[in-house]
Amino acid sequence: MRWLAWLMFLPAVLLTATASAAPEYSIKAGYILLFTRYVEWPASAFATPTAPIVVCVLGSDPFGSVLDETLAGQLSQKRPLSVRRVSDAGAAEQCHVVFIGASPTQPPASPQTSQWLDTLANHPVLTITETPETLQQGAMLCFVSEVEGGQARIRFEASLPPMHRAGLTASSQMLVAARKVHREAPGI
Amino acid sequence: MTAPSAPLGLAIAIHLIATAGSALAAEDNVIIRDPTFEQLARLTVTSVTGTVRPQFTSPAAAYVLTAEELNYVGVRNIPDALRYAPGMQVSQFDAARWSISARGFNSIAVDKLLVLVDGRPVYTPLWSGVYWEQHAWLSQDLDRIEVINGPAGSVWGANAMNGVVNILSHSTRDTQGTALTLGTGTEEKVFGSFRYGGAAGVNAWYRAYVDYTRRDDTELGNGQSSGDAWDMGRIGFRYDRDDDANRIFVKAEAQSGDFNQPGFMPSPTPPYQAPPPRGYNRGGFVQSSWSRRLPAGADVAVGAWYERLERRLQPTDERSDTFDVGVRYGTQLGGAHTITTGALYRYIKHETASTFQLTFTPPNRTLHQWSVYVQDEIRLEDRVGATLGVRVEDNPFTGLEWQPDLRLSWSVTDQQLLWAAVGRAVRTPTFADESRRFITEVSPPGSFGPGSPPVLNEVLGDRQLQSEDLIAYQLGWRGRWNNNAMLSASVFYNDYDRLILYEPQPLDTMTLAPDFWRLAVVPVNRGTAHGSGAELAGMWEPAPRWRLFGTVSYLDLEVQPAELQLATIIGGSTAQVQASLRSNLDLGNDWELGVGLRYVEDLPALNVDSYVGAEVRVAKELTEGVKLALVGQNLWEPRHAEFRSASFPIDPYIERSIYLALTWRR
Repeated sequence: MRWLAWLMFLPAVLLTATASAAPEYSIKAGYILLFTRYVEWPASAFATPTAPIVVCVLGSDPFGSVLDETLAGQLSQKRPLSVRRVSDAGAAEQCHVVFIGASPTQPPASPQTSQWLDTLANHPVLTITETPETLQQGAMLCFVSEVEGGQARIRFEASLPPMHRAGLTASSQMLVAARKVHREAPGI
Repeated sequence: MTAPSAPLGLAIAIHLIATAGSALAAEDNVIIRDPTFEQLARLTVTSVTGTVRPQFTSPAAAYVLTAEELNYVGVRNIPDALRYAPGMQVSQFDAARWSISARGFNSIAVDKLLVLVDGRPVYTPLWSGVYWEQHAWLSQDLDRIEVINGPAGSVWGANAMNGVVNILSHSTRDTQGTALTLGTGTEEKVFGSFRYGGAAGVNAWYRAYVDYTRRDDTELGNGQSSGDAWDMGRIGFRYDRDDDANRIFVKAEAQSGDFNQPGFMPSPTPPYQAPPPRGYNRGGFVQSSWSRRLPAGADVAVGAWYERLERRLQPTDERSDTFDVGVRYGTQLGGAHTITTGALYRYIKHETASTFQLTFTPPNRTLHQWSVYVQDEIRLEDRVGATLGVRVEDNPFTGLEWQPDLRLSWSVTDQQLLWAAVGRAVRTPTFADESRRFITEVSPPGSFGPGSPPVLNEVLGDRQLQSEDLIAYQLGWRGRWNNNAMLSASVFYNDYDRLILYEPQPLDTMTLAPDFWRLAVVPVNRGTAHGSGAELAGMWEPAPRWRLFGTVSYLDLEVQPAELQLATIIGGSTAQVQASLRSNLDLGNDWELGVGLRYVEDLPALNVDSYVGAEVRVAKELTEGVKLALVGQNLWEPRHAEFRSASFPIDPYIERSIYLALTWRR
């Protein structure tokens, strides 16, 4: 049985991405990279002109290492990118981008998500969620999946009022790519 | 998301224990370089890579086995999957029977573990065990198995005493298209499954599926076949709808299985034993739930299911109808409190056919059971949280049962978490405990002295039984490094009281005379036990395409009073040390290599030696969507035994086996 041990230590080999289809969170990680390039933060959000843009995953993390690998070595607005995982909104106040996943096992709009969004409101933090109704609770961007003919594509919606309140500006190139832009507070 | 539209109880437990947290190791780490918005919007989604892990911050000894990583080592059934979970002990008894226990009490009739399939509890009301043959085969659309060691009675109610196993299938959103698997092997002679998934309008999806497996006999000690081959087919349907405010889940499934039954059953006439008739398990269920998001983060849900089961498998012959309905409401109070509350009602109509071997008095029973629960997750400080829960259950056997639970968690740093829990759980008596008369063996005439008639060895029930009681103390720690390594450790002390053990009665030469004498044992709540142990589980990704999973479990279980034979048997049927290691390696060029190794220490009371199990799977994707896999199981030695029981006097061995499987997806 010694050969087993040797087999287990064979080196691993990387595969390349396919062109027309990709896993959901690879696509979402790609979007997050772009968001860091097309959203402008107030200068006060950074300690120094070269301080990194900190991307945080708050709560459950569906990305695995995909987000880290997507952002690794990239520059956005001449700043390096760093990924952190945080478990509460207090710690997330130090981030520039906060992703709050709709975990497969929690109610889609969990009370916790809205609580986190409340804590982060009015901080220069770009909040990204996965459930559209959170756009009414102060989320700035939200991933949505468009299903057509049995195939899903990932798009996003943007809500401008909370971004304005937080001092963030999204470029028009980014907003034309959005499936929907909520300009006034959506809902009643 | 891949929400298994949690039918009631499920969503709550999950609140407590398990949402994605550390997500080590996604399936295919496809990295999109230099994306543009246009390009991203065009890409279609192949699969959801997010590997769900027990929430890093969950204050429970939770462990997750994802379908993807199980498939990597060629696991085809749930018992084999659970061999790789910390704290679980799996002993295969024969081809269709397993003993699966958490934190001890391995036996022919494990009754302290709660198993849920997509949120529906699947234990039998007869004796609160699980008919594993019905749930054994992994669905092609399995998402993951969550294992929670320790009591979860405040969430799940009675019988979630030593642990909970949640078997969750993918949302139909993630199973679009066709998938076909065909295979053959030395133990699983023929197996296959087919699924088709499609969209049903906007934000709604469905799938329909069938699967079939035919399993070969195990081998007896003398090399002959045990005669326990069986087959099982399932057909099912699932629908999910998930729009902005509502989530609807519907599932229906039917199964039919036929079993050759090994050994013999007692008989009233010479030679006092007879071969059992062929067995079967047929039935089906429908299940549905609807949840609605309310403003301000609240949500409300209702769900119901109905199941019909017709089953004849040694030693029982039964029919049952179960109807279950529940409501749940979740809300937030004052920012720091997340309250979940709900109520459940269950109706069970259970009928048994009396045989010489086993009778229930009365043979048919109807049971009404209700429970209410409330749970409060409190954020005490930024890094400190508490969860308080209590469940009150009314059952026809012992009346009201309270099951409170308290958990604390402290995020020491973003990378480290400490948690502690104390809780009470009960196992309520069942139909069988109350009213069974089970004849295990007929001793022939003359066995008890010259001229003695045949003697019936009987296990009887008792209507005065109380619930078995557990107070469990747990402490856990979790740490992670660089997002590619995680370690979790838990220690526990379980204090059991009023355990049901069996007390031998003096030889009764009167009641059944002159035909028989009777040697009976009766259940009594006289047992106490102390279980202490530790579980260690680690994951490490040494390279982007290589993942290692390891577990070590230690358990010391001592049951008193020693003068009752069962007390010693329970202690000696529990493996003190178990360990496992899995390696999932993507070799590139569409080759995959999975290796699994596990060790189980000897079980002195069952005369079972320690053994090592080994699995190897080599798979190659031939063309896009077509994969061929060759799997070897139990490779370490030609055969080994995992369980021996006086109740089933055959001596089967699990053999080394291989199978070949072809999967086609598009």
